[in-house]
Amino acid sequence: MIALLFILIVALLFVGVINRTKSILGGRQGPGLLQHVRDVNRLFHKGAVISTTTSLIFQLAPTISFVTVVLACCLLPFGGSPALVSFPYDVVAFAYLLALGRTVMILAALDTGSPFEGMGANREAMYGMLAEPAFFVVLGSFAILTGYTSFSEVFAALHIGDGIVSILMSAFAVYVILQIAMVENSRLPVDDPRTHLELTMVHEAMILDHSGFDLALIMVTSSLKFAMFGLVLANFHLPPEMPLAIKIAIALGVNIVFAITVGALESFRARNRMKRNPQFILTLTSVAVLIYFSVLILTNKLVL
Amino acid sequence: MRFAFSAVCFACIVIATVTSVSALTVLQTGQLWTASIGSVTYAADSLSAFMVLFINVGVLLAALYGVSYLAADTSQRSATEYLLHGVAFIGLHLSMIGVAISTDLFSLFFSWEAMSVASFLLVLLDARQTRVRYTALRYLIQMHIGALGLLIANAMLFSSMGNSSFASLHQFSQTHPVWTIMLPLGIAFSMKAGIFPLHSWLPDTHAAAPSHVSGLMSGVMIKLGVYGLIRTSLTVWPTMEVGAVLLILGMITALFGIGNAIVQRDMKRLLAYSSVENMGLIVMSVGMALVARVANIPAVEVAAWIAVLLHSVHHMLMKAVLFQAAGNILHATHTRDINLLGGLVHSMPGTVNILILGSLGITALPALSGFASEFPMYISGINAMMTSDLRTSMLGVFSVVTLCLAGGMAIVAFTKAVGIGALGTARSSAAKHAHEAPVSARFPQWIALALSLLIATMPGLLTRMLSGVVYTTYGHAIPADVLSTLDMVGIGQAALIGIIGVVWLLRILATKSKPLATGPTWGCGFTEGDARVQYTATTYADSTAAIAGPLLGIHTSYRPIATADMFPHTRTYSTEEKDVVAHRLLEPIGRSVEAFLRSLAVIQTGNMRAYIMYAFVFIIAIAVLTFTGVL
Repeated sequence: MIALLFILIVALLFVGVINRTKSILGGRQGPGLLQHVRDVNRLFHKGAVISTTTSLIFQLAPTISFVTVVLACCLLPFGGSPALVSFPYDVVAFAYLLALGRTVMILAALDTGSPFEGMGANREAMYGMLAEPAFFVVLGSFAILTGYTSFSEVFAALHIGDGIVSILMSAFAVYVILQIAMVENSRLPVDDPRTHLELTMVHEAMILDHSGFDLALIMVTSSLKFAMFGLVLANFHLPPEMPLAIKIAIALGVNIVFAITVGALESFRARNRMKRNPQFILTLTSVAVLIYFSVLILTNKLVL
Repeated sequence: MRFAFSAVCFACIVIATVTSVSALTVLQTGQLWTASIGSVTYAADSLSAFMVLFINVGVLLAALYGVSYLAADTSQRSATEYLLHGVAFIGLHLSMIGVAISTDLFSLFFSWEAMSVASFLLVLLDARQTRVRYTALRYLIQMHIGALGLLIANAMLFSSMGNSSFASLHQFSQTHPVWTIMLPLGIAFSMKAGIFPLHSWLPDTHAAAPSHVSGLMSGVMIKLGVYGLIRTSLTVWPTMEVGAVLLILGMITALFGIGNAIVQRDMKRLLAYSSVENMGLIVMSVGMALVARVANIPAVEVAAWIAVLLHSVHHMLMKAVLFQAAGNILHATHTRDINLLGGLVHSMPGTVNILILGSLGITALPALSGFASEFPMYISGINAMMTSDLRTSMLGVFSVVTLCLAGGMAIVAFTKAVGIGALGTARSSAAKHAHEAPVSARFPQWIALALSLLIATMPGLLTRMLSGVVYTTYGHAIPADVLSTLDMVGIGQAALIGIIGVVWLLRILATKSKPLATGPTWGCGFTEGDARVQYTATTYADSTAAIAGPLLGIHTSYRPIATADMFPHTRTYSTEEKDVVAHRLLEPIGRSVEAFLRSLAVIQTGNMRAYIMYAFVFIIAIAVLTFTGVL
């Protein structure tokens, strides 16, 4: 329950912190921290324009996508306090819920018959497919390390040791999860949310035709997704024996650092060339395999 | 001719009822059912009984659809053609049951042959098309190469054991290296199951066959190949190598199949390649179970066996749904080319809704049975990763990566089939003027989808019902924690569907009072766009093809503009997807065999005088040989 509350609070602020970082680094006045929330609120109250080409799936998709992300959030623990729902191998359910949301959004994009949205959908499908193995190898490695297979138990038992292998492993893991979060949330370096040219968009191109309530739902979904991955990252740094107040402080700190990192990255670098993206995402899988080998060494299955 | 196939359907219902009663008794009591015809004994243990039920459900779905499919068929056919088709359909049903209840390799060979011939005749329904005749013939030849493997295995058993029962097979494997008998058997069963590199008949045949038959072949018949693999590899012992080979071949098959599915433009070929993928996943699980059995890791083994059973049922249901929906589209538009479809959601919404649900199901996304059936695969894969043995752990990593990569690729393939094929704007006048299929042609798919939903929400219940089957393969009862995890998956999926429903209702309530306008799709200021601006099936697959190009056999015919070309003239650009194995391996072999046979045909001059001379020379030779005392 505390995890869900945490995600809700972070989701309210996350995009604001990113935008604020970007405006400060860009030397602009910039919008306030809660401008994003006001935007979403306004959209919720607006009417919608839908394309005559579309069918039911176009309107249904944002709802399904929203529900899948909410349910995925329910699987995440907060430090030692277990998740709302937890069962063995729930990491698989987590990944597949996100995949369901992505798939219906792709179908909605193709439903419009727009060339841009077809392009965005194709790219999204491709990147999702390439990012999945990295996620499974990382979580599988944690399963080997801890002997558990659900998020709650894995993070409760995860103890980053002092050895060089252990530190390397956790650094790799944070890197891979961070990059998966960037791919899943359509941020740099694979996608640039600032772009105004449809041909260079990925996620933005997919939702060009959504408006009003549905667009608001999509924005809420993506904020939740950010906070969700932020919580996964925070969980690495939350030993269960710590008092709750300190854990909340650490988790908030991790998420603020995460958001500032995203903002800084988006201020200082350009998006990858589209052709390079598959290569980049596949690299994550190779790093994930390094984590797997580190875990094998840590558990004395592989003796060097 | 509608009446004719109704009679066939009725006959299948009778056969199914009779056999299902016995099969259910076997499943319930766990006692062996036996019957003898002459000296041949047929018997059904729980695994066979499961297969019989499985076959019956698949055949009934196909038969129900067949009635309306053939009724809507506009081609002129003679009564003989229909009669042959009907008899072959019943023959296929009976022969598949025969395969499942055979107790020795020889009667299995008999039913196997009957199955191949019956399915060959079913594919030939459109035999007036040259392409169909050619494909069917190729199918028959490839099936006989497979059958040759069974024949060789039979001969080996007969010559050293005196009979070909499964007990003899077990004894034979104790005294000989395991591959002496498993290689021919493996080739025979893998050929039917469509395991790489023996899969190439599958896409061609499924595309050429009428849709009710392709659904039946893809959903049910090829599973008998897996049944054969399970039955024989459990009889032969030890099976570590067999398991490892099946595991690795399964992974290759899965990735190869789904990679090719992405680039297909033909709707039914896409579905057929997805069958190749799913057979790969099932065989991968069989291999995982066998490896785990020898390595004695029960947690991996039991999950893998459950996965084999659940995924077989899931795939049978989904392929019935998808091939039948594709059949409705084919009837309405007369094309299978995804690039000529699109926009069907407005002209035939009923069929497209079925297609969307089927696609979400086959990609193993939560809410339909696919997730429940792939979940045990993940359980076995992750458990294998967690074992202390390094080799098994790595096989576990490979299987998990294969699973999630294949899942992601399936999403690309099926968003293409649905998104390009059925959504958007119509790309041809045929697609624009498509008419909805009658309710009777959509009814069987809804039955299959309902069954799939049942499995999705209650995988634990189905697994408990099949515990006898798992017992025949696994040898122990299913551990309670696996069952409770599956129960959780079922509850979770029911909750997912329920919550989506509730949120959707809330959304309707919230937006009811808001103004809703309609307009054209956003075109970046360009409002005169027509259907041709849309993404096509080829472009949608292009990004995948760019990564895995050489494996997917895409052939481009285009002559680039040369520097000397002063004036423009007509040029064409076209791509064609060919199966790499068929194109690079089988076709050259076929050509060289044909060339060899042609060189032998030199003596066939077609000249009567030459043949008379052959007879004369033969008589002289006999006379000389007799005279010299050689004969």
